[in-house]
Amino acid sequence: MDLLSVSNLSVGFDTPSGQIRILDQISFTVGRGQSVGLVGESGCGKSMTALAIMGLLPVAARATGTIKLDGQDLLTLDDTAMSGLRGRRLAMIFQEPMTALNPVQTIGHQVAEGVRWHLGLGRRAARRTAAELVARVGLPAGRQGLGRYPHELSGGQRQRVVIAMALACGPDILIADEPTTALDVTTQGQILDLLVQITATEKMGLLLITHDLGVIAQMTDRMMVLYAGRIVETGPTAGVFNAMAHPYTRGLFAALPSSDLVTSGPRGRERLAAIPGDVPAPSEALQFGCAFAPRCPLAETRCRSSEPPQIALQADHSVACFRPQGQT
Amino acid sequence: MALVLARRFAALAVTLVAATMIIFLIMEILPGDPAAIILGVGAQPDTLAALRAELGLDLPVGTRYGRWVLGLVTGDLGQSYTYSVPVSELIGERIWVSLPLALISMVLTVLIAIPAGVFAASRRGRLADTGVSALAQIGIAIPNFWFAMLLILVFAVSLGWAPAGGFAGWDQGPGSALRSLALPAIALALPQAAILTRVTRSSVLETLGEDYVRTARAKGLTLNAALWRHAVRNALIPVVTIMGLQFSFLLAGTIIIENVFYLPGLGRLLFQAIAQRDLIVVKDLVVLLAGTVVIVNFLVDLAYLALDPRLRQAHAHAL
Repeated sequence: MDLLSVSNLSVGFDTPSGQIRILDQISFTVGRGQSVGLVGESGCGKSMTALAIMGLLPVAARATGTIKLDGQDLLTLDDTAMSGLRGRRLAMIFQEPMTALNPVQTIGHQVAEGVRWHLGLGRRAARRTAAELVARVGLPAGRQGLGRYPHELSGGQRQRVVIAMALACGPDILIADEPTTALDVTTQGQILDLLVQITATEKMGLLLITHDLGVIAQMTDRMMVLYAGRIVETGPTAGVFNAMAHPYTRGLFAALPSSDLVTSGPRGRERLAAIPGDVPAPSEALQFGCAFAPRCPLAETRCRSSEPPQIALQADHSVACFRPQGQT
Repeated sequence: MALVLARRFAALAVTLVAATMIIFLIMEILPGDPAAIILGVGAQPDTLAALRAELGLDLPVGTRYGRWVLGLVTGDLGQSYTYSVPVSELIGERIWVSLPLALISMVLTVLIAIPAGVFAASRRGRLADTGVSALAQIGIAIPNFWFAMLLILVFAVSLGWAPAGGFAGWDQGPGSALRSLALPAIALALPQAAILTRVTRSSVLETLGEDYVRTARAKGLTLNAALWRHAVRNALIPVVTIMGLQFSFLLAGTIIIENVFYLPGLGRLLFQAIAQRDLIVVKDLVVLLAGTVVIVNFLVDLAYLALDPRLRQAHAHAL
């Protein structure tokens, strides 16, 4: 059985003008030791997926479907039961390390808080655990290190603290929501390496959320491409990169600035492409047909009138498109 | 850290000196000769001159200011014109009414406002929040002297739980003294608690939306634990600012409330001294009140340093 299994997850908001859907029937699994990537532009529902799993959706949001952790459906649990799982079995790393830490508490206190809360450790034992955790993420762990406040650290160091907090109780699933987006390019690589190393040694399941296909290629075993709340393409990362089928996936790939990937890619080095238009606002999307149709260079009449079916291309690789590319 | 403290302390001293100068200057400008007030309208010029010499009023302004400040520092506040006793004695008796009154009111204000504000914020938009906000609005709207009379009617006249006025004195035991102070303290605290409740509520609402509160929830803290451990302490910084300002309002409020309840406190002394042109008492009392406000603001600054580690460094560069 998969460690985390999400099926037919939909998230919507009730508004005076009707329900707005943010996520539409998404399904995926994350196994132990597996690394799954979720990629898409801003506003397509990536963060909502993470918050739905953590049970931290905004109050006005409604989630349907199932999110099973070891067979237990998280959506049926109340907040107290979810609090017992958060931080202990499910952990999350956030995009903005500058604001994710409490400015008035020392990092030692914040790292120790999780183990004190869940495992009931005393002050000294928790401090020892915090020192170990901080050392594991590559920060100085002495009294000086633990006694520092977030404003005394750089962005990369803060993200290491956030990772240490997430690791505190040895979670089974780690959700990383754009963990490197707010960091310098030089720091990004270090943080990604740290994540790879930790999830591998701990045999955690990793759900990595990013808008960067380069990160997906480097870090994940499986990947999903999310567009306007739907998974438009999914498969083993290598398989998808070898034969990108959805026009949106190809568009994302063409928009990559990273030279080594672009040269080997289907469009060569010719120029840095942009996908015309924007991700539709949730209130406008998901009415009829394929949500990507208005921006798609290949769209036909049927794309605008009916929803494209999931087509299985090969081993585990499927796409939701009437005109999947690169298929012979 | 030491540097920051030294700077704050220097600022405190400068403010206090400036306060004495301004007060002295205002009292100089005010019309009315203390000697003429003491002796009445029909006084002979030579008697007047003799009294002016005795009071030191014929000395140059600079000398009189110097003597007055020296007196303040050494505890010699001069002699009251109307009571003919040292001002330090007058203040010494009455401060034990006004200081406990102000402190009890401040404690009441905090004990009411912070839980009420946090509670309202944690139930934003629900019935409890609306209820607390409505009560706070009423509390702000009610003038405290009117509320004081209402308290007297209900708790002193009808129920007889507390005296309607007067002060039993601390030598009768703290019980009866505290009973005399209970209604005045409540009357003083109510509007301040109402204001502070609103400030706390909006401040907590703001911090509840911060990323670090979500981080705390992601660690597994329940909503209440995240609220009290992460949101409230960060929300206290603006709350403490308002508390510092409120202390000045409480001091000003004692002037009215002590008159409503016939409490022999500093506020009532100040009121009488003004009415009787006892200028030296007025001058000393105003310095005392100004000094209290300045010191409270200094304490507020210290509270910032305790609450927010970022300020301990930032100000070493900034100021």
